[in-house]
Amino acid sequence: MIVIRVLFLLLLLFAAPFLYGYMLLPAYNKKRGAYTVISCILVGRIALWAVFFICLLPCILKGVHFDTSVYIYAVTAAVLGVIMMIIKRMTEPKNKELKVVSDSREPFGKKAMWLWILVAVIFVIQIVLAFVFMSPDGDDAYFVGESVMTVSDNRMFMKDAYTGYSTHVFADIRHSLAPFSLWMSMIAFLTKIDASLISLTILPVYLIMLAYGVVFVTGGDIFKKSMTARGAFMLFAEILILFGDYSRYSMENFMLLRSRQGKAELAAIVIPFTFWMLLNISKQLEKEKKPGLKRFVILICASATACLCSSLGAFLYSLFMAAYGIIMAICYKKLKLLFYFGASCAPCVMVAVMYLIF
Amino acid sequence: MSLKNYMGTGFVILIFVVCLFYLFLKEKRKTYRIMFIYGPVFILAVFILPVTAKLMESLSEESIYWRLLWLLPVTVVISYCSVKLLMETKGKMRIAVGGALAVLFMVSGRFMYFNENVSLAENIYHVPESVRQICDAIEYPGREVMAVFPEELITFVRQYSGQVCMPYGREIFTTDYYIQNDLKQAMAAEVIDAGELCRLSWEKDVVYIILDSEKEIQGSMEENEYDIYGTYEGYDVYRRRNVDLENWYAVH
Repeated sequence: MIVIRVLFLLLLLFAAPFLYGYMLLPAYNKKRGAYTVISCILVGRIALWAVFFICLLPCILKGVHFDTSVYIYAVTAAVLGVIMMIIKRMTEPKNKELKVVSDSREPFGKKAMWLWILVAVIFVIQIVLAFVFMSPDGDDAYFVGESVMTVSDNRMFMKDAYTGYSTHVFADIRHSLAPFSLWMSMIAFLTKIDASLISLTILPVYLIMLAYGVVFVTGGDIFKKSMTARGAFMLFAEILILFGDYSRYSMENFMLLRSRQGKAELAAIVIPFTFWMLLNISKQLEKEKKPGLKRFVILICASATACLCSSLGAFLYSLFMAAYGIIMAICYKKLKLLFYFGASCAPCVMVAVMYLIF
Repeated sequence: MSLKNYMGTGFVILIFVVCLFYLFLKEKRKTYRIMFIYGPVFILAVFILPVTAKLMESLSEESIYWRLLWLLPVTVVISYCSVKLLMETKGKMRIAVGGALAVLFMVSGRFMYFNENVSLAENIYHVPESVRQICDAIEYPGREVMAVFPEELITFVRQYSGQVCMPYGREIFTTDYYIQNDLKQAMAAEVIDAGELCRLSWEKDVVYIILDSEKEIQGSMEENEYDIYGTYEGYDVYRRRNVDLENWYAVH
């Protein structure tokens, strides 16, 4: 029984995002190995979080039971997945997936090998430390409490997470409109693994892995041709993150010590992921190519995920897109980019309006 | 104050700013100038604007203006700049520079797991073992139970069990204004007044009272209808006498 639960957990955390990302990524390149797999998982994870947010929000506001909401989400995600697969089959030529990247990369030598071994060792140490050590934070009383309570009560935001007393979804609209903790509840509900274990032990480790995945693919895009440079980039990033306790408010502190909180995901995954996407888009623009519809869809998903993670996500994400949108529009002399980036913030605008209304 | 909170020791942010200057002088490619220089500078400029602070403070009751600095790609910029610096060196010099940079980053920050809030996990749930044992002992299948806990355990209880409710939670300790709560005061007293505590607890339909075993109690919990139920990891659990949890229902 436990084996089935673990397998299902791996399906939800890795296989499903991979499949989603495979269909959404602009180009699936067989030869890029780990980079491509991790890119697929990241893009798919962001997309699934966006679908989760869009499905759950009306359910929360309408007071729908949690289990019904999860089934709605599961069916929606499956249907969207099938639609994307059909679109992908119809629009992309068969042999494009096997397109081989031009082999102008430097060969994977001894130096690169030792660097990457060191990167892998530090990464594994990091994961082990996240399992072995606990880092309680006062805010967990709310977020993890909400996650655990949702599974046991089957209601969403209808009880006070701190005490268990009855309340109403509109009593704390700020958290109701940023229901990241319910995603943890959903994982617990579907896998039948204890919600506390999922929220405090298993998912924080998974989320730290995702955060490192974003750093990995960013380095992979910056130093496409040199595995040694990429290895050095990853090593420096790992050191900066591991020694990032210079402030209680740093992104690194949130990423490693408070990864079960939605705002940590915003800081450590969503915003760096968006940075990676913008880097890709900028490279496309520099080659005088269009960013494309798929990247636009991914940005919209990132925008929705930002809103899922934190009540401030809508504002921060929009500001981030505005900053880079304005700069790119000026540098590439393409005013249309402002509309492209502005439109991708549609979920943020929608959530901002809801905050004002409620 | 917000920038100071975020900067902490300040060295990493200083390194970040130095990297911005270095890239401004050395980086020629448009994409990387946009992503690593212009973007962060724009964000910093927006952060400094007084109107931004006012807008962010109006969005939330807490002071979270510093979260805007999460938009700065500090780790990516510093790592990129470091690799770029390494690429301009060769042979043993490269290894020496790489090592020096790694050491610089280590001493500029602080090892995450030396943080005072980090400790060895007492169980796989990452909650204090006392909370786990107490909640397992007092949970009742199919219904919630009301229990009052010492302050140091309050934040963990509902992270472990959604079935254990409390008359007050963490919110009572985190608001800016003082909340008058007689039960909380009775629990926090240096010497517990058993009569007063039991009376106030029962007014809130509390079935279980959890107290530190070392706590001095004036009077008798048993005389006030709370019998000792068990001792778990240094905490005594008292249960209200004659409460049949299967048939007893209290509205919360």
